[in-house]
Amino acid sequence: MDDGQLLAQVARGDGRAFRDLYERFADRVFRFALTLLRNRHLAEDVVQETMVAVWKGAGSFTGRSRVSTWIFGIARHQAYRALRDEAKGERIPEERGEEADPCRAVEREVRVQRAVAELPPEQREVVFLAFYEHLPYAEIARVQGVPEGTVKSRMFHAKKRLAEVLRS
Amino acid sequence: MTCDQARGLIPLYAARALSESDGAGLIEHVSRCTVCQTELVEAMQLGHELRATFGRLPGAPEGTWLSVAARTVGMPLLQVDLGSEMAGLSLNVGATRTGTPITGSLSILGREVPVLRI
Ligand SMILES: [Zn+2]
Repeated sequence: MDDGQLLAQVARGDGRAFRDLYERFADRVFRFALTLLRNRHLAEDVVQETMVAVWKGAGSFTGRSRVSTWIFGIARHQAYRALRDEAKGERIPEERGEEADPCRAVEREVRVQRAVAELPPEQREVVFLAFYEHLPYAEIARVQGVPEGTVKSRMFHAKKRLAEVLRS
Repeated sequence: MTCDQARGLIPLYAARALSESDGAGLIEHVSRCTVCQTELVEAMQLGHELRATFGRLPGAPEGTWLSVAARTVGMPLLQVDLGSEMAGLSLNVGATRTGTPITGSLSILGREVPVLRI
């Protein structure tokens, strides 16, 4: 069953379908939020709020984008709300603990992780959605609510920066 | 395809997010252009590393589902899963608080047999 069919069942109030949808997306949304917020507690909140919104709003999904685009759009909205709260003074403690276990990961991988962490949030998003979620630019543009050209330029700058850091 | 156009598509190709026809056009260009070839190899290497890096991040904590369920389909009050210890036999009893019927099922080698409905 594809994501769209599953979501249609969720829209009819099917709890088992919702559980399946949760299984498909929870880890991905968590990683997306973690990439943006770098804080596990907030990332967990984002998963919760996103999935509750998916349950409530499943009927409003129009099918004009991919289901994953729709869900990551909601997750992004939730994540930025957390970032705005931080700007208002509720400081989000950044965790340094997300770096891979040095015993398991080669030094190069730790460097990739650091290089991603140092990108501006919008570029981090693009990199995650393109390389981990395989979303095309048009879908990423929908998630971010910007023109496709903006996504392209964010990708261009992110790739340039990552290549520089990793080459040095 | 010009080098500029190719450069625009390379990150997408490396992210495996390019349509087949665009991909074919890109490969056609790259097979004749060593500069873009180098770019593509670098981008694919980077793509591979990024996927590995994101894939190594932890997943959502175990308890998250319970919090979500409590606000949507109803809180499971009881969950018994005998799982693999009994060779393909698992008993799953779920009870919810929000009017959803209390159900129980026995799963034998993956086939669900309802055993309880209140
Ligand atoms: Zn070229």
